[in-house]
Amino acid sequence: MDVAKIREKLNKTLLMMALILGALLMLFPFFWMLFVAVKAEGHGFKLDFVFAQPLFKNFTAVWTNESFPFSRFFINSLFVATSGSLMTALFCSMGAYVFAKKNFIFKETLFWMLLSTLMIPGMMYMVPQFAIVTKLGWINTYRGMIIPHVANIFGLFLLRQHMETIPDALISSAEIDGASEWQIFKNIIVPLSMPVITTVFLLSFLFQWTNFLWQLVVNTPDSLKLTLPVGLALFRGQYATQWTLLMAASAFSIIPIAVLFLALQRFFIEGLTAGAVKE
Amino acid sequence: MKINSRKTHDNLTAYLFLAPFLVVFFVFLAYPVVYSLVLSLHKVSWTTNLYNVFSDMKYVGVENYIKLLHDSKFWWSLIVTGYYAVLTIPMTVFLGLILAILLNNKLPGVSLFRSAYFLPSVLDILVVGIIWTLIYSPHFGILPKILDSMGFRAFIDKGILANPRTALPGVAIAMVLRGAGFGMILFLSAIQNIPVSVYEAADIDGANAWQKLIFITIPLVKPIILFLVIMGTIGSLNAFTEIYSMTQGGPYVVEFMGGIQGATKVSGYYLFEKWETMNYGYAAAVSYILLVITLGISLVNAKVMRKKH
Amino acid sequence: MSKITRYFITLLFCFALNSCGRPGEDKPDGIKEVVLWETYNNEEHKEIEIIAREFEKANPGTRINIQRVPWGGHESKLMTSMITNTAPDMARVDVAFLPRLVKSASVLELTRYGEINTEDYVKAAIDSNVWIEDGVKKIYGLPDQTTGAALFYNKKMFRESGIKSPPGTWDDFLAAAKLLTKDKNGDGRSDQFGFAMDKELWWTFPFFNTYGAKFLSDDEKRCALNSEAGIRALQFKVDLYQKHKVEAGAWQSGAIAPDTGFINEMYAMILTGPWNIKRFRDAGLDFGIALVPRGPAGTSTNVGGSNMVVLQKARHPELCFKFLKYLTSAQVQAKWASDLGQIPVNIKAAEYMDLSKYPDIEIFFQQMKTAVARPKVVSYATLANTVNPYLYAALAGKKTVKETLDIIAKKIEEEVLIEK
Repeated sequence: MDVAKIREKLNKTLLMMALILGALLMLFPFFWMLFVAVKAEGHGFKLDFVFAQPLFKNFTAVWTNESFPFSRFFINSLFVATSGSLMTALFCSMGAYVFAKKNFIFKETLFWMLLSTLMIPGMMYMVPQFAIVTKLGWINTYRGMIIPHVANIFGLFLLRQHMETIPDALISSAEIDGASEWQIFKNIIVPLSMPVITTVFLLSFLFQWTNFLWQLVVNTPDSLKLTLPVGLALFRGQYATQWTLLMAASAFSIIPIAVLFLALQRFFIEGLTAGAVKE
Repeated sequence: MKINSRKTHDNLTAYLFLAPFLVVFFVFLAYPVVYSLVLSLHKVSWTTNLYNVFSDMKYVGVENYIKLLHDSKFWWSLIVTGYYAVLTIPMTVFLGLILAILLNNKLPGVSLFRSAYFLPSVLDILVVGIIWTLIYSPHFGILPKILDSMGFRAFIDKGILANPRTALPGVAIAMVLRGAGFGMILFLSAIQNIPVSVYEAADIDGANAWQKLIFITIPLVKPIILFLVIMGTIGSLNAFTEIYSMTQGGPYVVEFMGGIQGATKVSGYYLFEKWETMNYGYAAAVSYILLVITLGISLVNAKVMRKKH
Repeated sequence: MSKITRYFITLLFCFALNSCGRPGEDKPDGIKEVVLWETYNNEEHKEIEIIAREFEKANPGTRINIQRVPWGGHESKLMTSMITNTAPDMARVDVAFLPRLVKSASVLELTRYGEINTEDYVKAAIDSNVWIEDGVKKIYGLPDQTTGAALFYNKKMFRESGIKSPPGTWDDFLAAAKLLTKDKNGDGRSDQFGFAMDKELWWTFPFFNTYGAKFLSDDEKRCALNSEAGIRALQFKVDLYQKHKVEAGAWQSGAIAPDTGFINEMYAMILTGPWNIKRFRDAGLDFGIALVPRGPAGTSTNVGGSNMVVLQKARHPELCFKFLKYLTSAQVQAKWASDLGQIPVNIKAAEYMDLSKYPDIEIFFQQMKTAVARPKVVSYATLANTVNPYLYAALAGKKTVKETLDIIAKKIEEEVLIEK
């Protein structure tokens, strides 16, 4: 082999090593979490290899725990994230359709209004949204946990952008055939926008699942509807030294999203970068 | 006649379809902005009916804002926020760029690594914080142990997060390692959009890898760097979950403006504390000030971007 | 979108929009249920559970749901629950918290629901619940626990110094303390002290009260602590440390606290409350309890403790009232006091218990007869935080007593007495 080929191979190996090192660096905390989660009681912080018998003992202990209903928290998270994203996907699609394809009064003004609130970060909404939700009596309810964050402006714009590319001809021919607005929406627009709708759904799901501040604020500590992150945070005091259990619980919060992401990452990445790249 | 009914038909349809979205938008996204201002002009007094707090607050004009100006805790939180931004933003940009360059090759399985690097940025901040708290914890945490064996014995007793000098950097590192993947993807797509011919021309001119990086790559990804800086600043102003999960604002050992301050109390956490202690009017005032600062930064961003074009 | 999807989405809408039942709604079986938040320790909690069950038996169709809440932060927890409409029907609250609840109309006025004879209760305890509005007596809670400080003395050390009985007046007290302050190991410094005290306002009230110094002027507009009586009271306290050197400096940060030093027989006399009785007895200490020494205004002490209130939006307020009256009735209090070694809030409880069997309780019972309730300021916490640093300065000799009290009076008028 000549020098160039050896050089190339060397570079490749070095590169591979660097990549692996990078992966270790970025994923180290999660490996650590899993490592501690499968350790035996009391060995959470020791650097030995004493594992739980059976290996998933901590996970089942956490799931069936009486005074800390993880399974309920998990289901709450699942329900909130799923219904929230379904509502978001639906509302945003409906709204995006008319922004893309219809002309109506105040269209421009509305557009600018929506755009301007995009710049307001979540923290600013904490106090007023809490006040409104309290007045509505929505504390400790699923309504209060889901509805305030269902109007996703970013999703609306994303969908609008896509729907604008749907040929008008399709729509007008359907109109001629006597289709109602809802039918047009349901049978033409939605199927053609499925990829983007999926992206919006996934992004909403991600947002709702990991939304910590709002779920902390809208629930009292004794609420039955706590989501997993909030439940974890509030009960952390009790488990201060039982890191094995705490890590098992953390895993429950992370693993679903990780799985979802790995399966559908194309959508995640496209969605998250679409807004940025547009800048 | 026909034209009119068409227009009305369009208007009606449009608003019907928009209705769900708009209702939620106006009630929960638009109205709160105004309501927050109103709230900030009131305060919860001793006589406020607690069953009906928000309708029964006492009007105090700009008293909350004046109190804010004299509040050492508020100014301190801005300082900590600035420090947090300075810690996180360069590291995020740097790490994102490096990872992107690393991934910019045609090795088999590189997409696997891309997913691996991006994965942490979609995971829960709270849980990431808890894991890092374990890693940083005194006596048993893996990091103090490693440092201890390398001769840095300072952390084995109290851990990383109880030490005022290392608490915020510790949080920053945890968050950067989590979030760098996002910037990385942006950099990657930008780098991959740079035509190969540009690099080839540089090769002909005899440039080495380092020079290519400095003079070609970085200038061409400048917009992304700027974007990440802006996002990072706004993110620091609103940082909350990571502080809540890792340090709760502490350790409370810093003296500033006549008060004892928490070494990691960023403005987002300060705002949360005001809400937690039912100082709703005051909290609303704080969020308005933070909002103004955020909008100011966005405006500067818009201006700078416009200059480029 | 198929029919199924439509149906699913509608279902989700319903889920999201429907009420999921408010906590504590009345069960359809007609039983009246009320929730009580209490902050008791383990023994007290067991006791109130028993009392609740007995009440339910005597009143079929009722359920008293006792929920335990940690003492620390119970005020803000209660306030938050009112704001978020998840509040209980009754709650046990610290005496100092009641004024705020009354001012914000968060608790019900109880004479609406039945008769309350204030003479039945320990005066200082019931006083913290009574407000006179337009000449009418209004009662906003019933005391469930009352405590105060009394003089604890080490009998062994008394015998060693030849002191026959506990001091009756402050002069006797000073004389005894001087005898009891000794340098036992000859190093020139005292290692046994006649007295050890705390610095806070709460621990200064016994002095103020026994000298007759009032907190508020008669028209309730000014702070009267810097009166002649007040100055003499505080001066006496300061002198114990500064002039007579019979006090151990236990009020300083880092020093050995009064009850710790008492258990270790370093301090011969301290002021403390019934919560320490069991602890001292269990340690085998040979000690006795006496009334706070008499000053010009006789013996007196401060008042701690808690009250039970009925929240403004309580369900079945009549039931709540009935239960609270039951809880504070003579017989129930007699049982409570003897089981737990506490002072009964109902004076008539003495008829149902043989107080001679409980000499510790008896002396406190006596003491509470002349106890003076704390001022009903809206925020006792603000009051304490404002005043305590200056009390510290006085004890440390950094300010004269007159200076201190003048500043304190002014600050109280500026920051505590104003309408906020």
